[in-house]
Amino acid sequence: MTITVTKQSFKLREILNALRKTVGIKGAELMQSNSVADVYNAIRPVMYRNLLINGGFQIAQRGTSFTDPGGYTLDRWMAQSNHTGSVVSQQSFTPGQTAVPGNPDNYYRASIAATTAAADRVAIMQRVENYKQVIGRTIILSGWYKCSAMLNGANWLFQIKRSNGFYDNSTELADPLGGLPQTNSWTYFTRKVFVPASALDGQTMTGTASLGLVYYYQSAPVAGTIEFANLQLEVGEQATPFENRPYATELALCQRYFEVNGNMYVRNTGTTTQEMRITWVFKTQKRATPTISVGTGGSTGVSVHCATVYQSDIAGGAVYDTSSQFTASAEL
Amino acid sequence: MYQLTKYADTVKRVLDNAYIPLDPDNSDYQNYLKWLDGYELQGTEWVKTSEGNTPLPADE
Repeated sequence: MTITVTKQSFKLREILNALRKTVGIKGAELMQSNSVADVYNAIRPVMYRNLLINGGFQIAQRGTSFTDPGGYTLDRWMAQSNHTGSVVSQQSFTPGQTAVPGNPDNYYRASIAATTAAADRVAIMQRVENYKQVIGRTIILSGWYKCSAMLNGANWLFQIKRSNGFYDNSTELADPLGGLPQTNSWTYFTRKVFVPASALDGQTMTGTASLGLVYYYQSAPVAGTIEFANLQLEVGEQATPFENRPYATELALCQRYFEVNGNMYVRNTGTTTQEMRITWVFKTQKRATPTISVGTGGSTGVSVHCATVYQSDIAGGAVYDTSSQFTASAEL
Repeated sequence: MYQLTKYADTVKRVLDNAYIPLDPDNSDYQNYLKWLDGYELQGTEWVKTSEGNTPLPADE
């Protein structure tokens, strides 16, 4: 007996296409992963990918407004200028605004005085401590900005800095796209640069070496403002959404470099004049032994963990009141 | 301008009464060393202005 089986004809390509799943760029990587390590490498940049600290400009231990700044302003952000009339400040978004996504609390504003002097230079910068993680890799900066001022000579600089100098001792990786165009609306931007091993230039890196991110301009014929929100610098070819870290986490990250403490006092309960001392234990271990600023008196016995603050010649029964906040700075 | 202190482990920055530890990884200490070498920070640039600077002696 002969049995004949007849199969319907089919098109192999259509069946294969039907089996094909729609996946995103990471989905394809995950499906092709052969080990836990492969999976981890595919999803790794989920947390702590923003190399910048206080990219959302929430933390303001030194204050919220700085006239003619010549150093650190909002936490981790430095501003330098060699002409007067600039003001850096922390600003608050209106609740419910939609121009910048993610409902950020704050943004950075630099008010710019009109200046046409060719020798002028104004810079906004952050120094990233662990520069080694970007060597031989592409990094990408992203964020939002508004700029009402016409800025001449504006540019982004990515620097591998061998020490804490401002413009000296660094290899500059200039942004080939130049500065940011003038706009009165919040505008998203990205800037990408590859950091070659040659950026180290065979030089000895000091304990304050860093990756410097700098935005600078040389003159502004008309006064105006430049504002930034949600700045993020990360390793990779593509920018990802701004990483919202908890406020307490961001504050602790800042306190590795700078910490402020309320004023303290101690009473000399003796009857003779003595030097009175206060031990200040830091909330966060510092990057290096910090510089201590106190209202009165002095400081000694400083480590990355704590400092001793003293005042000589306190009479018996008198109080040593520092009268102001203490600060500890281990900035780059 | 800087001043030595009665404790040998810090130097005082007179401008803001800040006490700088002698730690080579401290940025302020690096600036102090540059100042000792005769440099002054003018705007954003270090400029050599003298052969060297000397800190004030410690207060009695």
